[in-house]
Amino acid sequence: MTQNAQSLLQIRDLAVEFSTDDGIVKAVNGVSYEVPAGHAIGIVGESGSGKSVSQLAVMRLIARPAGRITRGEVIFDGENLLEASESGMRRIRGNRISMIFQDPMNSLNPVYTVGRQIEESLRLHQGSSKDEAHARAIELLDLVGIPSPEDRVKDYPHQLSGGMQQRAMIAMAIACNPELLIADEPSTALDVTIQAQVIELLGELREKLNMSVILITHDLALVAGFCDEVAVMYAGYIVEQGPAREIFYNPQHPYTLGLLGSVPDLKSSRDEKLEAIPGVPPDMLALPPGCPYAERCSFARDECLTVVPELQEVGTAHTIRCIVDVKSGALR
Amino acid sequence: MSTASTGSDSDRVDGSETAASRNGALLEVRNLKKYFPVHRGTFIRRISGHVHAVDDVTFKVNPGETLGLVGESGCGKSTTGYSLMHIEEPTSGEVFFEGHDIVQLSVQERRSARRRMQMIFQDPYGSLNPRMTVGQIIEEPLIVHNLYESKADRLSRTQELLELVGLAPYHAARYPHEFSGGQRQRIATARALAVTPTFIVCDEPVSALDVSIQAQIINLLQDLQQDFGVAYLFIAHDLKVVRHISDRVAVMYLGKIVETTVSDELYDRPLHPYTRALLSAVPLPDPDLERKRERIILPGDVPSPINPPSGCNFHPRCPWAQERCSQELPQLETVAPGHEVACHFWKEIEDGGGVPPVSAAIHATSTTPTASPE
Repeated sequence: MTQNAQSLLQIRDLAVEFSTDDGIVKAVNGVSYEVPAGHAIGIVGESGSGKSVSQLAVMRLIARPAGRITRGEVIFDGENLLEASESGMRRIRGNRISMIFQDPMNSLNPVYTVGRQIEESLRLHQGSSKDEAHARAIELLDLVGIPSPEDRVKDYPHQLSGGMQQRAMIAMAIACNPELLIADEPSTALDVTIQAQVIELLGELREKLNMSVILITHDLALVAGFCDEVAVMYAGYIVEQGPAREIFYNPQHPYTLGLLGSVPDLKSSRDEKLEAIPGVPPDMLALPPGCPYAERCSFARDECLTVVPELQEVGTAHTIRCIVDVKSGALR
Repeated sequence: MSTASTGSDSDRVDGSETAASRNGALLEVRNLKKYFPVHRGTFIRRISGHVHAVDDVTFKVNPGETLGLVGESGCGKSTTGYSLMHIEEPTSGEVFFEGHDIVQLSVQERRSARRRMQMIFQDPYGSLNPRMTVGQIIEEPLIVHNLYESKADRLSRTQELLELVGLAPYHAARYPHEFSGGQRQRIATARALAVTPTFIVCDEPVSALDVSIQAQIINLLQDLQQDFGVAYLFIAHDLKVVRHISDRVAVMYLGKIVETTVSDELYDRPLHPYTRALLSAVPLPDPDLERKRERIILPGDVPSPINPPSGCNFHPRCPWAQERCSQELPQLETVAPGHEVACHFWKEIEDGGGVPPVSAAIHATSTTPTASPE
């Protein structure tokens, strides 16, 4: 995620806050990364780490007035989306940038047929006629692997299974050939074998349509095969980012190490204990002044408790937000 | 579950001295079935069919061991757990626990027989009463089973349990909403442990938790097993977690167990096509391996359990399926000590290297959503 002239999307120092009855939740605290055209980026983090909110900010879908984008830039194809007009955003959403969500049942409108929902974006963004849009909807359903698309196009969402609903969502998202697809936990609500189908489909479509993809997930393993670059988020910060191979074979941030150690693999012996991360994530209403992970970190030092670490380069395009060298335990 | 699947009707044992205690199993389940009626009509309600949630399941759990029960949603793994606990009345079958067939017992008898059987639920938000303090929640089973004479004894036991699961005694005065998901799962664990059970049904105990918290709870359950010798039926959909925590694993598909094996063999020698597909669908945190891995992508969705496919109920999605599979129901057969599989062609598939025929890849994205044989 280096400076790249061909970056489709550049996010710089993005921060998002929410006002709640209990105080201000600083959900995203200065996140920067780039999505080069045609690349797939994985954003990994646990619940509350800000991974979804940062993407909703890209789409300008943060609910107001509670949520505010407090600073930063989102440059998409040379234009700062945070300064775009609402009508300008409407031309981009679902057209040049689309999004698919975790729960297909709740993101599809239950009172319209699947076909009509796909046609809507075609008619809106591309000015297609009714018949054109209908024919294209059938084509799209076929493209995402829904059998007998001529019949399914007339189905309501409840008539489809979870996996088929997610396929329909994907058909809707790719209807206008978007340059960027943001997939927010697209397979989390699905069973393992269906998850494999959906991820395989996304990979195929990415190549076929030459889309960039941002894949948001809590499952580190899921991004391993799918993404070129990975960003690991914790408490609203990107704590580590870099090429996928670097993140998995040479992780440098204690949290990434902890996450990798928390997941059993398919070969580990039963007697090997999981290296669980102690404690719980910090209260987002009262983030500590220092590194948000310091409290749970086995490498933590006094300095960690007072100052949020700056981003440090630790390899080619590989940065971390940590002052400790995990290999030696010494300060960097 | 090595011997029980054959001829169970003829050697059914009455009374409390049973086959279960003879072969040393703590829990023995035989031919367990749970069908839910499907109703039709508004005023005149008729039963139009049945959901075959658990369809003739036989297995056993030895003292102090963990049996993992893995499968996708709707495969009947949770219903199996519920039927053991009598949260759902089994339609038929036998459940021997410490030598008693608990299906046959009266409610009173069952309550005391089941004291040593407890359960931890999936949703730590729904399974703790929000109006009770944590202390009251953990104390309740001690009162129900009348285990301690005095309130003071119960309180000291409650505090001991809180410490055992990694919480502090002062937490007893708090309410569930003051705790995070992981902590609530610790509370649920303390409640289950209160009555010194020998067997705990863990129904997806970590799937509602974040990854880093999951590992904490898994480690806690393993520690407690080591200290108290409690046996677990660990129900989950996450193959990595199940394999890690279990001694043996049973794989369920559409109400039936299709393969049972010791954990290590599950990875080294999966035999049932469904087990193979499940394993190959699990993403691994290894970019190079992921890119060259041979994936078996199953076509379609799990069929409806109301009208399960004929023969082997996996045949509509199976890349290796043959004519015979749609006609004849495969029985579990023992292929190695502790390893059973229900597939007509497991041998041929294994000899062929386990690579699915080419046709599988072609129809992977083009079969009907609810593949039904009719």
